Amino acid sequence: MNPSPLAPEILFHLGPVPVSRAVLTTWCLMAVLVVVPWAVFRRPRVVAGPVQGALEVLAETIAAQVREILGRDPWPFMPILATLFLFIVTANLTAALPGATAPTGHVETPAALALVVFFSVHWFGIRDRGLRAYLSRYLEPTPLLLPLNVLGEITRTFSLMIRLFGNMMSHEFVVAILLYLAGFFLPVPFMALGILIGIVQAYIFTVLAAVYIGAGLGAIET
Amino acid sequence: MQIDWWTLGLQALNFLVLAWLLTRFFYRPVRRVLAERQARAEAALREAEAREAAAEAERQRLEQARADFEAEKAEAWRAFQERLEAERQSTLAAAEEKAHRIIEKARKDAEAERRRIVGRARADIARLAVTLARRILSAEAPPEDPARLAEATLAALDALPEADRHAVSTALSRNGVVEVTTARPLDDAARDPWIRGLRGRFGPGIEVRFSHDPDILGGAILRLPDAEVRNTWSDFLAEAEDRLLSEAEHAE
Repeated sequence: MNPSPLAPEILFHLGPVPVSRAVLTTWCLMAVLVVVPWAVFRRPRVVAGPVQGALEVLAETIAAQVREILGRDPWPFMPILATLFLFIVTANLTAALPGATAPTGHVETPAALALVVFFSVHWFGIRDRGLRAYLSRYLEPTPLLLPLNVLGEITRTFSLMIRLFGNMMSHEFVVAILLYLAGFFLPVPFMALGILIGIVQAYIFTVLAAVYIGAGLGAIET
Repeated sequence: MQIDWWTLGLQALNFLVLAWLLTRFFYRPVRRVLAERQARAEAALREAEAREAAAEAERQRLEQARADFEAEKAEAWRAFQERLEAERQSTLAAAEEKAHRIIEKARKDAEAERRRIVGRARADIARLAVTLARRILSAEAPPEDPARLAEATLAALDALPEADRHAVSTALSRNGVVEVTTARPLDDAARDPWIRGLRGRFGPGIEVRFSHDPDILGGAILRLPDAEVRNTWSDFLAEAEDRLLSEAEHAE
């Protein structure tokens, strides 16, 4: 019996902990994502070089986007939202590397990210508004809508996960099927399209996360 | 579809660790660089504003200094003009005073000189008048006595140079006419000294003619061929007039 292509591929175990390919790929991405800015900003210069300038432009662009969504200082939210965007972009783009699979093509990674967003919304909301005020929003506009509001919290987190997972998984499947049926060169346009899809999905995931956090802060009506 | 919860938990942990690492090595350094850059820009802006303010203050100070300098220059120029005018007036007054003194002195000197010359001329004229009077009173003037007049006139003829007297004798030998002109007609007694004197000198053959001319006032004119001896009051007075006029012109 062939294993499910959706099942995580366990490469090795660290004690009782199984380490899947997605986790290993994530570690590699983490190494790249950390080493590059560490090397650049180890001795930051006020007059930036090209790499430092590019990283600054990237961070400032994300911050500006977050500021537009939240309407407030974006830097307290950058650790979650900017990291989401950078990680999802790099994770999605690993699908274009030969022999690599995108961690976001397996449900565990989108689910983990969606859970982080879910708890971040409550964390930022409670920290900003207080527990009572934050919880009171589930009773609005009427306490009768409390079950629906709670269900909405769950379903939007679930949709966040499924949207990313579905797109990346389906893209991998399409490329794999085309590779199987049409040979080597035909999937190339689809792989290029996959780059665009990966960036767009990262943007959508990040923007939705920002919107959810903004709703938790009371800055945005959802 | 099955979910590996270990993988899910590890990925969540991985994400949180990545967020922490990026916060430490990316977001904070970026914020620090941006803040430092902004601080430097603001500092540069403040410095530029301070320099602009200082430059504006310096410009205003220079403007004030220039205005003060202009006022001081105008005041100095006005004072200089006033001093110059005062000096000019003073110099002009001194020059006028000096010129006045010079002119006055020159006028006084000229007046003194004129007086001195006039005085000297008067003295000369007085002396000349005295001389003339003395001559009139002495034997130099033509005498009124006919005998003395003839004698004095013939003495003047004798005083001629020898060559002239010889020429007169030669001329009288060819044309023996001698004319004696007096102021008043002479009678025979008055004519006799003339006739005797002339014939005694030039021979008995000469003819002596007599005429009279009131214009000669007194004295006589002896007209010889190629010569004339004048011993008249008119000539004497004419000579005196010439000498007086000459003295007067010299005095002026």
